[in-house]
Amino acid sequence: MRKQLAAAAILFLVGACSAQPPDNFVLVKGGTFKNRTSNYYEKNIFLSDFYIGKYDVTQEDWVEVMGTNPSRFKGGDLPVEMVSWYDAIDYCNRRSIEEGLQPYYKIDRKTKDPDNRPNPRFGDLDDIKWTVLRNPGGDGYRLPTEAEWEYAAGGGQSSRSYIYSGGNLADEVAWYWRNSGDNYLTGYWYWPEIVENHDRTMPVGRKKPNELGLYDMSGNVREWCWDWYGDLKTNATNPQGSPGGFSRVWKGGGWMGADFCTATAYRGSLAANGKGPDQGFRVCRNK
Amino acid sequence: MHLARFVSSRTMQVLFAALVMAGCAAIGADAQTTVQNNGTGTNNGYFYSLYTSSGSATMTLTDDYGGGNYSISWSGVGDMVGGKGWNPGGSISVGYNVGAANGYNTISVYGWTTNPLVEYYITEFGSLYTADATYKGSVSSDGHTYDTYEHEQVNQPSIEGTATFEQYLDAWGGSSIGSNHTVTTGNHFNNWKNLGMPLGNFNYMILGTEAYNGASGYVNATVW
Repeated sequence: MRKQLAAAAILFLVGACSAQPPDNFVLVKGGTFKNRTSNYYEKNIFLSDFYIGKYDVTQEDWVEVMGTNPSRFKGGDLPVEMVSWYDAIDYCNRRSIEEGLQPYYKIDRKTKDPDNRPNPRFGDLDDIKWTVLRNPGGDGYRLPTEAEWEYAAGGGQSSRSYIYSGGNLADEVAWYWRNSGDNYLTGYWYWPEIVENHDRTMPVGRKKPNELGLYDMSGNVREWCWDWYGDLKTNATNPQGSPGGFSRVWKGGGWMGADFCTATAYRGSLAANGKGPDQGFRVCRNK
Repeated sequence: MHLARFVSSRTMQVLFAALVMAGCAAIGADAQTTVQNNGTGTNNGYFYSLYTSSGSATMTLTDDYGGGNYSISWSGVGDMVGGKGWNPGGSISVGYNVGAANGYNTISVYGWTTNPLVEYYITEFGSLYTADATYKGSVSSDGHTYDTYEHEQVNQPSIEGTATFEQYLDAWGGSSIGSNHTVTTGNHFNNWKNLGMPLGNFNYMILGTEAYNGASGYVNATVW
């Protein structure tokens, strides 16, 4: 009996430990969307629990796994940028392997993805077109889906229905073109003025977090999501986006763009091989 | 701010246009605001902005001619852009009168839309750089003909951040000093749409003067 109790206690402890979020991750309790500004509000979308990084992947995080730093603005506590969607997927798997986790993605670098279609306006912008499939049972690192990103940024079950992640004033919670340089810029967006103002990425975690304790979901760098850009799903559990397309979703806006892009509901996309000094990501894991 | 909120009727718009055409300089209290090198804000209901990358520029905003008047003088500028306009832009009749201008590269109606992301120019004075753009056709509007070009920008800075987007360029450049002109933006937008060049949701739209490469010059213009 004593042995049985000891075994039960060990199992309980193991279970309790495995329920703890990994370092610098937050457990996002699933459910339906509470944020009234969300594209998914009252659309009968249900999400399971998942873990998501408190911060964007930093350059320190990136270099530890990938060895080199592609970022335009250098600094260990700055978010990594100038990374394509493929780079982000590659990082997820490499980090998973390094930490003894099961990679979440199956990457076929030799087979052009037939679901990766030419952009109807610009043609074939993507010259990589790896075929990337999910391994849903994998416990490794992965990108959030668009729905997961929007749910977490919007505060999950604790949502106060803010427009931006953590507030209704962009300046309080987001780095974007007006506040990311030497001086606060007013008036209209004009790129040469932004360059002259030395706008740039900022160290992660300096703005107010959102209801779940997540930083920089709005602003700083835009964040890659798993999904192809396309019509939003309704009446679904854990939607994964369109089955194909010509660009991948980014969310959250960045230092370069306008405040409206940092609203959690704003949807943007870029070809999967696209890179920019405002394009980064954060990672998730299954619970 | 759209002109419709500032001038409540078409009659008033015509009146303002007539006053400008007559060269009347004595309406309003002649209050002035001066901006040195860089500045943005609202003046008499219009957006204004002045940007100077090097050299010097001074913008003077007055409440003459219904509030849309401004002048800029610049010297040795690497790049200078200044003007007045509206937010959001859209299918409106942009009235303007450039009373004096020299040393500039272009004076254009300039704006952005999102979804799709498009940057557009309707050039009234000067020449746009179109060497690497695709000629799409032409459009007649407000008594003259513009050449329409489309230019693809891949992974370039934009109002959304890094993006692949289109620039729509309607090049004319034959406007004249000291008389009233109109840019019926809807004619341009419809032509672009017919050419398979759609626009999205309007962001700001201004009549902007641009000068670069060490230029010195002066512009005095009014929009309504």
